[in-house]
Amino acid sequence: MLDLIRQATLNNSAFSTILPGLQIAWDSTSMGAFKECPRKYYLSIVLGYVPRETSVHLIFGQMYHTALEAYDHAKARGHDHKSALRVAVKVAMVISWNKELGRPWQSDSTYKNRLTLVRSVIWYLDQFENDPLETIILANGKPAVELSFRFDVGYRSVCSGENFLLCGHLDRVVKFNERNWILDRKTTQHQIDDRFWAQWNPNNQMSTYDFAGNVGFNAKTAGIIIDGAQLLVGGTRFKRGIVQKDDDQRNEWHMDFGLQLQMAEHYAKISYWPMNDKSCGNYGGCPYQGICAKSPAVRQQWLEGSMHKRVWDPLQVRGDI
Amino acid sequence: MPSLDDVMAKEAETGEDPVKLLLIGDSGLGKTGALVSLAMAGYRLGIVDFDNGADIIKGLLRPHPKDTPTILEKKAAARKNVYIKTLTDDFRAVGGKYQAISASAWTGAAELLADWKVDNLGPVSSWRASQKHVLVIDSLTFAGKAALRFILSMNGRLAAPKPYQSDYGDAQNLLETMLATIYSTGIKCHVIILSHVREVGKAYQIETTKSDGSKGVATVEEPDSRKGYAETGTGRALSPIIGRFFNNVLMVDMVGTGQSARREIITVPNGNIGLKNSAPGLVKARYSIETGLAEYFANMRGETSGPAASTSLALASATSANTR
Repeated sequence: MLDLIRQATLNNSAFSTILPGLQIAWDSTSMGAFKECPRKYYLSIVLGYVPRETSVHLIFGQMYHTALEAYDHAKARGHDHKSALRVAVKVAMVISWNKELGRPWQSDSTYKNRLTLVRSVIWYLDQFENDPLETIILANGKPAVELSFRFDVGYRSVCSGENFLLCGHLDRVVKFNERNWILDRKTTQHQIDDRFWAQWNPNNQMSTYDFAGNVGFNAKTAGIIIDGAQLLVGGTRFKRGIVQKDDDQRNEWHMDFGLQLQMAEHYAKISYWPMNDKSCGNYGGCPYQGICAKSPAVRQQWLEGSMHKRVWDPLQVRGDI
Repeated sequence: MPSLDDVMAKEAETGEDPVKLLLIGDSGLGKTGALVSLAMAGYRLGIVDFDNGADIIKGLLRPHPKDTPTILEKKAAARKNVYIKTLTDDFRAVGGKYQAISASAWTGAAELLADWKVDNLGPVSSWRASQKHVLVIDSLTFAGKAALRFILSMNGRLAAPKPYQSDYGDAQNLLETMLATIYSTGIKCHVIILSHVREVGKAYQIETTKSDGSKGVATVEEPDSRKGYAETGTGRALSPIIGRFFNNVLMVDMVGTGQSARREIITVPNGNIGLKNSAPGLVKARYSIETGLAEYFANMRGETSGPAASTSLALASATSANTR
């Protein structure tokens, strides 16, 4: 088991070289997996096994982000709206082209496919041509999009003595009503109603971003604006809402985060991550449910046969720090 | 677990027993002016003014030729203890119609409540009833409109002719969250929220037949179901539940006619408006508007109240001028 863990985390700079399996640099994805189920975290983050087929929601979301990010970069370089829109559409077309197969990305979803991607990008940028949310321009002249952060979160490993880091990437940091806000884009097939907004507070990812904005960047952000896009067969609707937290909530989150780190350290120390068998049915079903249903003796074979490996390293920078 | 007697003894000892009340009334009846009696009684008022209607406070606290030296002294002290922050959004005429071009009032209020830096008063959560600190929101109605404009602005639709149905819901959520925060035990100062009146009846839908024979749906109101509630500026849905956030819902109303007309603060159910107070045996059913709030607070807290801001004549004149 220890050899398996050492091998898996050898090329992952987010993990301790002193205590195998102890993640030092955390982001909302890795902590989210840990909170859902330590076993899921072990399989997906520590060992790096993920399903061969990437979720259409993930693919679409990433493409949507990338295209809109291209618009922000173009505007920061001095393009006017129409010119920046063309840049964004071009990026959307290029990234939704499968170079290996020489054809467009094929999606089985009637809601999330190449057509709805390009349409959503155009409709969004048309609706928000005169966006009251202005992307902040950093000191280096670049727009604050895909802004990477990494800072000491104030906890230290008892076993290895290493300081834990909190990492991540903010979609966009904007100025609205003379205040700084973190903007996070979300795409959904469902109606953007009270149920949609309720899922973002409390929310692991939003709490992480809020903490990063206020403590990591010391920017005293006013809150997080969720930039929702509801994908319909015949159109896309956009709606924005806010998530706001006070210092008491941030302190509570920070304390909870520390307790989670203690648990993670304990599991790494004993080289065992237990299943949370109450989470198996959540979010449409855990992709590892089939693996966990097998006897421990044969799980590794099933993992290797049905999944592929990738390294999830929160320390990999995507935008600008 | 402490008994009720222990809790009440502690509150009496520390003075930490805030009065949180909703004061409703039609426009021009003196809701804002009524606050002056508290200032004269030594309370420190932090007023979040969405209505841009705080001039009446200046008028009532301005020295008057007929004021006695004691009153002049009290007014001077009161003026030093009233902090007004007016938060409004900018409008301009476009194609013959006035529309909002900015929506910063709501976020301005949120920042103020988090830390009233501008006057060094600190976060509202640090204010204390024992030190006679009062937070005033004037008014809930215009706060709701500011919340709605904030939602529209964020969604790039500030200039849109009509908000979506969901925008009203989002604005109501913002307002409800603000009220829940203010009402919580985390806010330990006195709170007064002023609001206009909205009458809401129980509505239901029926099927109708139009003149061309086609079917339609009409909303009808149950007869005699109309009740008066606080106007939130965000549609009708939230008004009936606002009262739940307060143990004290009072009303300003005009009583009498002609020369004998006078403004009063009413503390017991009045007509179709469900007023309430949390100390029925200690407070009066009606108070004069000149001294009413200070007396009400004193009655609630077992204290004596202070003098009126001005002579009744001056108050009546000032209030009438405000309504013209």
